[in-house]
Formats: sequence, C-alpha cells, structure tokens
Amino acid sequence: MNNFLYDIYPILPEIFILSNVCILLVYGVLFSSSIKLGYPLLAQNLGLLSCQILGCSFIITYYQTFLNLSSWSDFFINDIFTFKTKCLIFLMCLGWILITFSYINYERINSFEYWILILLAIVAILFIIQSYDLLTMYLSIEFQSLIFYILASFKRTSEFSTEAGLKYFVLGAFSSGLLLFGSSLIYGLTGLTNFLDLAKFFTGMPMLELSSWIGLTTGFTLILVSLLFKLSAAPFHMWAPDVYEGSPTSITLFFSIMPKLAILSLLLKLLILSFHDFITFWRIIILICIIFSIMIGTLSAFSQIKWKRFIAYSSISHVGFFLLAILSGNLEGISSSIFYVIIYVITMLGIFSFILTLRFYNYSYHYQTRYLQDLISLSRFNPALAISLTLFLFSMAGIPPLGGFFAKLFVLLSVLQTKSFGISIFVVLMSCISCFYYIKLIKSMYFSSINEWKVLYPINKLNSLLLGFSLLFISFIFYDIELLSILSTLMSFSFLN
Amino acid sequence: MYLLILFLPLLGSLISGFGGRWLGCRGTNTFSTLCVVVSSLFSLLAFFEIGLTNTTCTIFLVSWIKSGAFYVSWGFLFDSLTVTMLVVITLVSSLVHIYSIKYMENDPHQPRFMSYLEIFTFFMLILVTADNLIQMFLGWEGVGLASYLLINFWYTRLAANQSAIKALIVNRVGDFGLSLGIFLIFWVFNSVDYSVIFSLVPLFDNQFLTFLGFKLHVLTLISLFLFIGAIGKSAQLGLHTWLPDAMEGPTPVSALIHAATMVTAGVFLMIRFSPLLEFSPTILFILITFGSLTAFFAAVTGVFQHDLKRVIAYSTCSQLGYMIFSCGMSCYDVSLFHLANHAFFKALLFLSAGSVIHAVSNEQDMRRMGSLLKFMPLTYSVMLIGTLALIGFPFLTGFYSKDFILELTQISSYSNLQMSYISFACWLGTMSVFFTSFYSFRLIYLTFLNNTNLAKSSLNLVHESSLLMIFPLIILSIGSIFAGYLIRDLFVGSGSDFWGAAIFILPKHSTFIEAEELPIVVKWLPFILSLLGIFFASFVQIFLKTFYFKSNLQNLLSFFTFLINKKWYWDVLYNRLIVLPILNFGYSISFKILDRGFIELSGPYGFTKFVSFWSQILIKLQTGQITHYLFFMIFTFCSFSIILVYSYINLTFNLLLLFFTLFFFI
Repeated sequence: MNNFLYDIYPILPEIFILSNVCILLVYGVLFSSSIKLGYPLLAQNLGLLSCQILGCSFIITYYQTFLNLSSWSDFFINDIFTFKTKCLIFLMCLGWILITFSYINYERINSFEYWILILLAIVAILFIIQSYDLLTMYLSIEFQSLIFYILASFKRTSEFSTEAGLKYFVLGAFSSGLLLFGSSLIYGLTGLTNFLDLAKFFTGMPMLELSSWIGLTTGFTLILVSLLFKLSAAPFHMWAPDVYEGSPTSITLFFSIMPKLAILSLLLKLLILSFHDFITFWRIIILICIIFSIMIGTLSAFSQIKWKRFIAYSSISHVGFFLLAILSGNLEGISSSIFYVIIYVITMLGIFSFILTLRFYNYSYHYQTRYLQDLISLSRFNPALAISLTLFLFSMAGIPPLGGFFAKLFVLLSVLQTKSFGISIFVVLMSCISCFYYIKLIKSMYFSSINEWKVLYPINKLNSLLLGFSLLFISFIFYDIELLSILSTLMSFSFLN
Repeated sequence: MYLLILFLPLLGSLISGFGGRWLGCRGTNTFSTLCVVVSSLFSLLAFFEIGLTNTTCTIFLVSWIKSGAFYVSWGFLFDSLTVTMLVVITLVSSLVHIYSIKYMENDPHQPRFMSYLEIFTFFMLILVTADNLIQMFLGWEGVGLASYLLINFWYTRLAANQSAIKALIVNRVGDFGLSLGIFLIFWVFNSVDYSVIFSLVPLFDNQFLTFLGFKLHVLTLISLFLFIGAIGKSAQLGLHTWLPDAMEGPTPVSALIHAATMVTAGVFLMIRFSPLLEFSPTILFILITFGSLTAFFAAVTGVFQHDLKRVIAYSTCSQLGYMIFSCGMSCYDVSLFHLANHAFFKALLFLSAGSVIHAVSNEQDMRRMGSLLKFMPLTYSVMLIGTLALIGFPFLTGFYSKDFILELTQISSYSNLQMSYISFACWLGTMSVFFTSFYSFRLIYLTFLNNTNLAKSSLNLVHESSLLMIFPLIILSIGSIFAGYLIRDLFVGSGSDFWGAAIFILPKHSTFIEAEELPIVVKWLPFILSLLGIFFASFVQIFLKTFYFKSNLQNLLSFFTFLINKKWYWDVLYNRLIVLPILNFGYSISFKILDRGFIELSGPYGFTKFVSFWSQILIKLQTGQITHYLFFMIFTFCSFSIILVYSYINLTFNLLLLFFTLFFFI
C-alpha cells in the first residue's frame, strides 16, 4: 500500500488532468449535443476550463514535495529534471493557450474536442518525460503521436490540414515501427528494458561482448533514428515543413514547442544514461545529424516565402543546436542544451504571438499573415509590432545582449571545451547565413517602401500580454542570466551518475 | 591647475568647434584665445613651481586599459622637461591665436580654425605631459590629425588637399616605426610607463633579440624605432618632404605647428628617452648622421627656393637637424634649449612672413616682392631680428644655443674622447651656418630691400598690419632677443640642476668642460661664417644679380642650381621608386586580383551565389512525396550502418559478416 502511494504521488498532476478530461468529455458531449440548449459552442468555455486545469496542475506540481524515486516498478523516474520539466511544460502550455485563444475564435475552430486532445497531449508529454523504460517510452510516444496526428488534421475542411495529418500519420507510424523494432532488438539481445538496467548492463560492453554488439548498436540506431525523427532533426526532418505548414497555426506552435523538450529529455536519458558506453559510436551519428540539421535548416530557410515553412526550417536548425550541446556528453553540455531549449521556446512563443497577431483587415473579414512579404514596411503602420519582431529575430540570429545570443554562446562554449573546433566553425558560419536572412526580414520591415497601406486588425490583449512578456524576457535576460542558467544546471544534475 | 593647463584648450576647442555656430566669430575668438592665454599663464606658474623650485609633479587621473600585464592609466608627468615644453607650446599657441584673430578675419570658417588650433594645442600638451607611451602616442597621433586638418583647412584647394594627405602619409611611416618601438618596449619591459622603463634600462644593456638569425641589441632596436618616429614627425632627411609642402596651410598654422611645436615632438621624444638612448652608442651615431645631414641638406635647399614660406620651412628643417644631432652628442639639454629658442624666432619669422603675405595680397613668391621696407618698417624690423637670431648673431637668442651646439661639435678635435664621428656633425653643421645666413639674408633682400616687382594694384594695397598682428610679433621679437640670454644659465649653465632626473646623460658622454677649453678661433668660426654668408648674400643681391649667367662655370652652376631648386629630387625619387610601384601594386594586384577578384569571388559574390544555389537544391529535395521522405530516412539509416562498420573496423571479419546478414535481414 505504501509503495502504491509512492507510485501515485509523482503522477498526481497527470491523474488530475486525466480525471478532468473525463469530466470535460462528458460535459462536452452532453451539452454540445443538447437540443434544449440549442447546440451551444463549447470551445471557448472548454478552453478556459482547460486553462484552469493546467493552472491547477501547475500548482499541484509546484507544491509537490520533491521525491527522487523511480515509481511503478521502475517504469517512471521522478527526479529533479522531470520535476522541473513538468513545471516548465505547464507554463509553456499556459502561454500557448493565452496566445492561441483568439486564433481559435477567429478561425472558428469550434469543436470542444480540440481542448480535450490538447490536455491528453500534455499528459502524454508528461509521461514521455518521466518514462524510464523502453516500454513506457514507446507507449507514451505513441500516445502523444496519435493525438498529434489528429491535431495536425484538425481543420477538416482544409486540404492542407488533412494532407499534413496524413503525412504525419504515415511517416510517424513508420518511425514508431522503427522504434519498436529497435526496442525489441535490444530486449531480445539483453532481456532488459529499463534504462538504468541497460546502463548497468552496458558498462564496459563494447569492449567485451562483441557478438551481441552489432545487434545492440543496430537496435540503438533504430531507436535513435526514431527519436531524431520525432525531434525533426535532419535528415529525418522531411515531415516537419509540410506538417507545420498544413496544420492550423496554433497547432504548429504546439508542435514546435511542446514535444521538443520531452523528446530531448528522452534522448538525453538514452544517450547519456543508458548508452553512454557507446559514446564513440553515437557521437558520430549525432554529429552527422547536427551538420545536416544546421545546414538544411539554414540553407532552406534562406529561400522560403511562407511564414510557417520558414519557422519550420529555422526550428530544424535550432534542433541542430540542441544536439550540438549534448554532443560533448558532459553536464555543461546538457545544461546549455536545456538553456537553449528554454530560450528557443520563449522566442517561439513570441514569434508566434506576433504571427497570430498580424491579421490584415479587409473590410468584413480579416485574415492572418501567411507570407513573409507581408512584413514589408510594417514599421510604418505598426512600429510596436515591428520593433518586437526585430528583437525576436535579432535574438534568433544571436545578436548580443539578447537571449538567443547567450543560448548560442553557451552551446558553443560547451562544444569548444571538448575542442571540437571544426563543428564550431561550421556552426558559426551557418549562423552567419541565418543571421543574414533574419536581418533581411528586418530590412524589409524598415527600409522597404509600399504603395498601398494595409490595415491591421487590432491586437488581442492576451496575445499582446504574452508578446510583451517574452520580449521582455528575451531582451533583459542578460541582466540576470542566472535566472535560467541555475535552473538548467540544476536540471542537468539528474544526469550525473 | 596642472590639469587645467591641459583641459582648457580642450574645452575651448569643443565649445568653439561645436558651439561656434551660436557663439559667432567674435565670441569664439575671445573664448578660445582666453582659454589658451589662461592656460599659458598657468604654464608659467607651473614652470615656476616645477622648473625653478625643482619639484616634480605626477598626477594619476584614472586607469585606462587593464588587460593582464598591460596596464595603461591616464597619468601626467610634470618635470622640468615637460614644463619647458608647456611654456613654449602654450605661449606660442596664445600668440598665434591672437595673431589669427586678425589674420583669419575674413574667413567664414574662423570658429573651425580656432577649434582646430586649440585641439592641436590640447593634443600637443597631452604628448608632452604623458607619463606613459600609449598616452604619448595618443597625443602624437592627435597632433598629426590636427596638422592634417589645419593644412587642409582651405579644403577646396587641390594643393592643400595634396599636401595634407602627403603630410599624413609620410608621417604614417614614422608612426609605424614609433608604434613598433612601443610594442618592442612593452615586449621587453612589460610596461609602457616611463618611470618603469627608464629605471629598468641599465639592466637590459646586455639583452639581445634574435630575429631572422640576427642578434640585435634590444635597446638599440627600440631607440632605432623611436627615432624612425622622430624622423617622420621632426622632418629629418628621408621623411622631410612633407614639411615644405605643409606650407599650403594658413600661415599661423605654419608658425604654430610646422615651426614651433609639432615638428619638435620628435626631438622631444628623443630628449624624453635620453635614459634609453644613452645606452646605445649606435643610435647616437645614427642621430648625429641624420641630424647633421638634415641640417646641411635643408640649409642648402633653402638657398634656391623662391617661396617665402618654403625658405623658412627649410630653415626649420635644418634647425631640427641641429637639435637631433645635438641629441646624438648626448647634449639633450642644449638640444632642448635650442628647441625653445628656435620656437621663438621661428614663430616670429613665420608670423612676420604671414604679415608680409597678408600685406601683398597673398603673394608668396619672393621674386615678386621687394621694397616692402618702406611700407612696413615694423615688420621689417621684427623679421630682421628673427633672422639675426636664427643665424646666431652674437647675444641674440640663437647665438646662445646654436653656437653652443657648434662649439660642442668641435670637441671632436680631442682625440682622447673617441667620438670621432662628431667631426662629421662639426663639418656639416658649421657649413650650414654659412648657408643659413645666406638664405636668410637673401630672403630679407628679396622681400624688403630690392626693387619691387609687385603689380601696381597690389602695391597700392600694401599696408602695415594692425595691432593684433603686430602685438605677437613684438612679444616674439622680445623673446628672440632676450630669451636665450635669460635662460641660458638655467638650461645649459655648468652645474645647473634644473633638469633633475628629466634628462639623463652618461658621465662619459658629458663634454661641457671640454667645450669651454676650445681655442678662441674655433669658437668664433660660426660667427665668421655667418658674417661671410651675410656679405655674400649682400654682394650677390646688390652687385651681381646676373652672377649665375656671367660665370664661366655656367653649366655646372646651373646644374647645381636646378638640382637644389628641385629639392635634390627627393620627391621625384620617392614618386618614381616607391609611390608609383606601390600604387601599381595596389591597383593591379591587391585591388584587381585580390580584392575584386579572389576575395570577391570567395567572399561576398561567391558566397551569396553559393548559398542561394544550395538553398534551391535543398528545397528541391523537399518534394512532398511520402515515399521520398521515407527513402531519405532509410538511406540515412543505412549510412549510419556504414559508420557502424567503420567505427569498429578492428573487429573480426566474422562480425562484419554477421552484421551484413543482420543488415540484409532488416
């Protein structure tokens, strides 16, 4: 009984959300199909409710006594990293809701299931973060992916959205297959599924048990490929631009911020914990992925004309940076990787709140910006938006003293400490190119002339709140950089074995 | 007070430069002149406090650069050397300010002019008061900049542009040497503070530096680099070509910068570094060689120049040569004495030349002047005083310093001193005395005494200058008459402890007593030569105007005349041998091949092409077909397998086989 309570305690927020999801589902089904009430639209209502649920779960998580244990017969781990990451996930999701609330209204996404799915996706992500076993890893990833497929095709009337959902589904199913195959290879050769057990088993392994080594590395590679696919690292990135573009914008934002931290935490556990003895091997794979991610992300974003594809490629190159930090395999690398992810998420929130805000008013209807060229001479008709986007782009380009600069700086420092000069120079060169096209956007905002002046739809309050918050955060993080660096260092301590 | 000496000119410059628009012409004039005058009064006080009561004052303001062992602060060192320079600079600067109120009266940009003059004064003061090399270098570059701005003051004139750029570029060669010297000093001493360097110098006497297999004496190398800097700034032979051209600037500028102060910065540097120079006999020899050659060549060149200001410019050059070789003889105090005296009479000469030019409607060619004695007697008198002081007429200022230098050169006759190379300086220096007096009196004759060649229209306009221009002339002429006599005992008197630790002379290089014991004929020799020069000039000007043509030696003489008139073809040589090849190289190789070709191709042009090209290719990979996407995933996975093989290539063949079967199975 005691054990059971210990098992329950760490996943209380998840249980809370799941039980609420049930209630909301019943509530939604009953009310939205009620003839008496005239089929009311529950999207708004449920949105606010789920916002409340997430807030409550954040409070539950935050005030939980921190326990360092592995629960559910070592299926889940609960340590400082998962604890903090869960808090971060809740905060990110709250921010996400604030930004997209108006979008849901404008685009008339009226089904209440949307919010139910989002809550379930959050639960899935929380489980991914905590999973400590190949089995739970697979199950929770699959749980998350299934929800994501639905979310991607949520705009059922849009061809793009359905195409995106289908593509995502087919490719995701393929990668899930790879993941499962890799896991079963490892299980077949070792009889183990737990991460820690694997780590113990592999101690000194590559030198001794040569016969099973090939099978193990193949299985490991398959798992790695699948995870890199989920993280949209090149050359497994192909789905990302299409899916990002096709999905509703709010979902694009969800895809680009939420799963990154979760998948990265899995990757960290696998690479640093379980398969650390294979470091000479996986380092090469990760290195190749870094080079491809940064190169493809940078060069392809160079000639994009659509916002979402641009963001997709840009996020691919950011993924390259996450991976670059864990390349060194030491604590500083991990902490700088976490630091980078947090800064990336905040920048993404800011950029998307900008994109969702930039709605052009053409009397009787208004539409959201879709092309990069909509930015032309934005500084004339909305200087505040222009300056905020400028700061975000500068941050992404890595101009000091904005947040993005420190993120890149810490990553490069951790890489330089392992004397990997070639990749550092390559990354810096590629950063120059990306800097060029970020600044090109700024140039088009400030120095291009336009004949017809457009009218912007008034900015939503919640959006502006989040835009301002992330802008302040990015601009003034240099004032007290330890706000984040202490957090990320603390989180990285979980990987100290 | 000490800081006010420096910062008053800066304040004046900033206010008259940026606020001249609102202050107006009269306001700027008053304000800037007031600043400099107050500064010069303070300098006199400082001279009293530090020079006469023999104290030294160091001021630490703030630290400037801190980087490891490299530490530079804003520090000021006021010792007797500095205060002497302070007095000279601020006094001449104030007089030039007063003078230019009138001289530049009709110029619309007078506030700018005043601002430039004052920023020059400020930088010059920084140069002399610095207590470390970096700050000194700041002042050094600052005066170079101010000189450029002032030469180019009338920036619409092509000649002014050319001369300004020439001055700047030629000085750059010297500055390069100086900065090398500073680097080397930091490398050797790990400090740029004067006090640290000078106290450590004797310990480094046996230090050698191996460079390209040559073993070089470190102290000699340092002082050689510093001397290259001095060559540039003080217009010594080789880099002197900018000085005569710099006369394109307004005349007060020539008086202040190109006669009294800036060009003496090199000499000041040599004197300041006396503790270092003393330990390197080689550099002393080089100083003597360059100094005496400059003195002689410039004096000879001055003889055949026609431009009023250029004659005086060459004279400046020649006098700077005297100062340098006197440093080479380890008589730094005499050198500084001559520097101070020279500032008085050369500023006087320039300012009175300016007065003449002002009177004759900006005509500078002496051949077109004449008979100005009748129109401007006062200018004539002060110019004559200046000239007599310059040629070292007894008991005028120049006599005490210049003749003393020449006397000191005569000690080479003492064979036991083992400084035989001084005889080189002795010969050349003494000969240039003759030429000095010759060209000076030629100038007097052509300008004031001969029949006039001026156009009638100009002649009608000739007038004596007004009070504001005359006042500085009178002050300077009083200085030219008495200054040498008054400060002689203080500066170069035997046993004077005025210099304290500011100047260091190795005891074995001290030769004052030997100079006292020279035979009387030798002591009179310079005076006799200058008298000869005067007589010869008068003879030529009065009786033999066609001397050159009537002579049997016409061909030879005209060859020499032509050669000297063309300034020994220095400019031509430089242009043909150095400037043109470098320009060609710059255009055809570094510009056309490297910059526009190689770098452009690999850099901006090529890179932009490359990026967009690859960007297009990568975009084409994104076909939108699921099968293609899957292909890329599987393809990459297979490539990873190859890495698998390579990373464990040392395993047995069996394993590889196993792997491949497994791979096939997958």
